[in-house]
Amino acid sequence: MLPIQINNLLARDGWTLRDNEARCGSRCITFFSANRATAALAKSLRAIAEQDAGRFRHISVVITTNVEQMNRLRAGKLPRVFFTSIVELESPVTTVPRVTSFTAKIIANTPVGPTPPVHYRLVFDAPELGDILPPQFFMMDVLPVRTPLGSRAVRRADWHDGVDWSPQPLLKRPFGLCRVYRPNFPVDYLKRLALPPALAAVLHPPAATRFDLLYKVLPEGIGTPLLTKLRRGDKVHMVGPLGRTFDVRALRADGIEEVHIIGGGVGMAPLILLVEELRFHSFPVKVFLGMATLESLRYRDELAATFGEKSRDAYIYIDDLLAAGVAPADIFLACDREQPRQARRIPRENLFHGLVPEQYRRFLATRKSAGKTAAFTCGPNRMMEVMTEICREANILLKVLLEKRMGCGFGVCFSCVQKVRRVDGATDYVRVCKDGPIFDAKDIVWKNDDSKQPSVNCGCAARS
Amino acid sequence: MEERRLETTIGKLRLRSPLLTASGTAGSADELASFSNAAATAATLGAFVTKGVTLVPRQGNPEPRVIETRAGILNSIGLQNKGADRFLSEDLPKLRQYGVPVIVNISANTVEEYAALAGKLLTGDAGQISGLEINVSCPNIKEGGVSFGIDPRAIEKIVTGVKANVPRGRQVLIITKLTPNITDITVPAKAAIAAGTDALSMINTLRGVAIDIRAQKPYFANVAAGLSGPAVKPVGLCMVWDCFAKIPECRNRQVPIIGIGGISTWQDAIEYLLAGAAAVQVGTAWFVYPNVFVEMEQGVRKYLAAKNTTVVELTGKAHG
Ligand SMILES: Cc1cc2nc3c(=O)[nH]c(=O)nc-3n(C[C@H](O)[C@H](O)[C@H](O)COP(=O)(O)OP(=O)(O)OC[C@H]3O[C@@H](n4cnc5c(N)ncnc54)[C@H](O)[C@@H]3O)c2cc1C
Ligand SMILES: Cc1cc2nc3c(=O)[nH]c(=O)nc-3n(C[C@H](O)[C@H](O)[C@H](O)COP(=O)(O)O)c2cc1C
Ligand code: FES
Repeated sequence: MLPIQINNLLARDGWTLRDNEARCGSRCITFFSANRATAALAKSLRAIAEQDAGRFRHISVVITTNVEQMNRLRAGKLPRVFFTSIVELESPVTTVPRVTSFTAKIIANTPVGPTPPVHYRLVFDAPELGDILPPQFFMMDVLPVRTPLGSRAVRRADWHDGVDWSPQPLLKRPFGLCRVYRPNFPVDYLKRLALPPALAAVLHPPAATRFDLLYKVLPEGIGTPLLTKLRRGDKVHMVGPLGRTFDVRALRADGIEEVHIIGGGVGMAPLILLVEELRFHSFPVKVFLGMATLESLRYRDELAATFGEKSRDAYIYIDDLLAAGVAPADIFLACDREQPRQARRIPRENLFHGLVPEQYRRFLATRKSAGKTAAFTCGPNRMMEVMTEICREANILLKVLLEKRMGCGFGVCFSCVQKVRRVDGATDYVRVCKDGPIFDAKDIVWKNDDSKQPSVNCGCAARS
Repeated sequence: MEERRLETTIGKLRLRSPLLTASGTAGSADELASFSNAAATAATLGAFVTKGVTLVPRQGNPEPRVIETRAGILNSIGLQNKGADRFLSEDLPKLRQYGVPVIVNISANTVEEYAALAGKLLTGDAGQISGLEINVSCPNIKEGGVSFGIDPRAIEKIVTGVKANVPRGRQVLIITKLTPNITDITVPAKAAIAAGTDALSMINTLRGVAIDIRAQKPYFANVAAGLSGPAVKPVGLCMVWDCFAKIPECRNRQVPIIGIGGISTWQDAIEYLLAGAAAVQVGTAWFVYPNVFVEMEQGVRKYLAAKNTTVVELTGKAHG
């Protein structure tokens, strides 16, 4: 154990460490060495967790000697606990998770919004994605497990109507993750956590085992209509985690004081995971959400996993953000088809009739404090292009999450390319799957005149 | 015996397994390295065939570049790659780390360029390249863009040019990769053999078109694209069969055939061997199912054990 480094880390935030305990007001952190017998360790941890009853006033941290040992323990069954390793206490490490191909188990596939539903929330178990970091994504089959590449009849939607006796879709589909669920952690633990940033920078929660994604059914798509047929218990083949990770600790190093998240339609989904990560690192976050109508967010949640209650009427995104500890006053909602009514405790002045970039532009014009800000956006291309302009004018560093048609998802086929401007002014094609999906907005060449994107190719239009 | 059942030879190159990556579908080392099963996958490979390398860097085609079809994909990537110099300095050393022979797939738009590219690669590689696979499906810009692959005289010239630029005393396998977009595959095959190719590989992608019925226009900027995946397997198999049946040099294994096209399961691989292939390449299936090599090797191994035979014995066995 290295209490000295920890003491230095905490001192900056007004925490102190005595022996192996750190206290801050009524809060307390206890450190354990992983070298203690696991059974004894588990016993102490269980006692602390029970006493604390999910309030996160008492945090247990297990310190391991190396990252491998830490990851082994993170995937294990210890009671509620955070992890770090001595190596990391000395200097931050970033491990990019390895890609695997595996089979996930479907837990729920719930329609969202008015019928006929356009959005679905798909919950699945996949410990193999345990170390996924935002804004990584994964590829999934749209039909349950089969013998590799075997064939069976599929019924296609809309104008493909009629039975098509051709093999099922060959390629997997790329999706981002919306939320992750960690064993032994309350689903809304971030509400109560508030870690000192220096400590958050070296702590890891246990590896997640359950995930959800929000998908939009494309009316002319082949794969997404088939996804709606997945049922609890189905097994689906996946590949991931894929793409680059974004280390939010870099924002701290850059002196960023506030982070803005602007999501259009289903583009909001992967940003929720980023919000969780930002909240873990105690960044002040403001979220701007653009949707067609408020009603399109409403659904009946039947899973205790999502919000910690048995079943309830929920709003996607809004309830997810609240569960991540974003204050209602920091959530902004723009609906382009109506004036949104009251939703949860979001203040009236945060509700806007129009497009989300416009709401964001007005917010920037009137905001008082202007600490160094970073922004992240994902949504229809046109929206991200407008956002790039707004942030350039406001001198805000903007990162975009891009979507492209993918063949492989791991960088070998060069089909998912985006045109970017290089430092020397020339343009280049980079792979969204391997070099992205996150990019500096200023590098993107939005007007891709030679691009002939097919009309069916937009998975995240704000129009729903 | 158990271990050696999978062995095969292509020209003078001895391979521990008949399973090879297919050009343009296996990346250039970093991508394989990102997988947790990278070592297991590499251990099943007889050789690693790189994506197409050109003399100078190429940007590739505009989007979209891939469209899914029934049981296949159409691609129009346009050979995006960073050129021979960066391939040699950045990719080749990484590829060598797997201890698998590296075969570089080469593309060009003139006969002279093929030869120059071969010369450049083989003088700058510090002896690391085990073979060159000549992709003759490229458009010949001096002949109005028709594919070299349908012109036997052009194929002869390319193979001769490439061979002439192999440094003296250097052992390098020269493979000619044929296009299936031709009536009789044995015509270009014989041309390549006449010019002294060590082996043939077939097939490259088949020409295909997709039309966006909403926009009422072709999807791809270049209109025609290349079809691959399970849909093309019977075509590839037929071409391997024809070459083995009709060309004496193929039949007597002097010029072995590497079978490519739609191979997705171990059964597919066995079919190709039986049709006359001494080894196979797996492309599109890897996109969809990154564990494919590991499972395919297990399947082939079991089959060989059950039939108490070897890859070498199996090659062409269906011809009787
Ligand atoms: C990194 C990434 C993250 C994504 N995250 C989400 C998400 O969280 N929720 C969500 O609803 N959608 C997401 N998408 C978009 C989603 O992948 C597409 O909507 C989906 O693939 C469409 O499939 P389809 O079979 O219905 O469409 P079809 O048009 O029938 O698909 C044909 C082919 O085109 C591809 N394709 C079509 N549209 C897109 C698109 N917009 N982006 C990428 N490939 C496309 C398909 O994957 C398939 O290979 C994401 C895309 C990427 C690249
Ligand atoms: C995305 C993609 C890129 C390819 N690039 C090349 C290339 O650079 N050079 C080449 O000779 N063949 C290239 N090919 C053809 C493959 O190597 C192979 O011949 C073909 O895909 C058939 O095999 P498959 O059905 O197993 O994919 C490419 C194929 C695909 C799908
Ligand atoms: S999807 Fe294959 S390179 Fe990106």
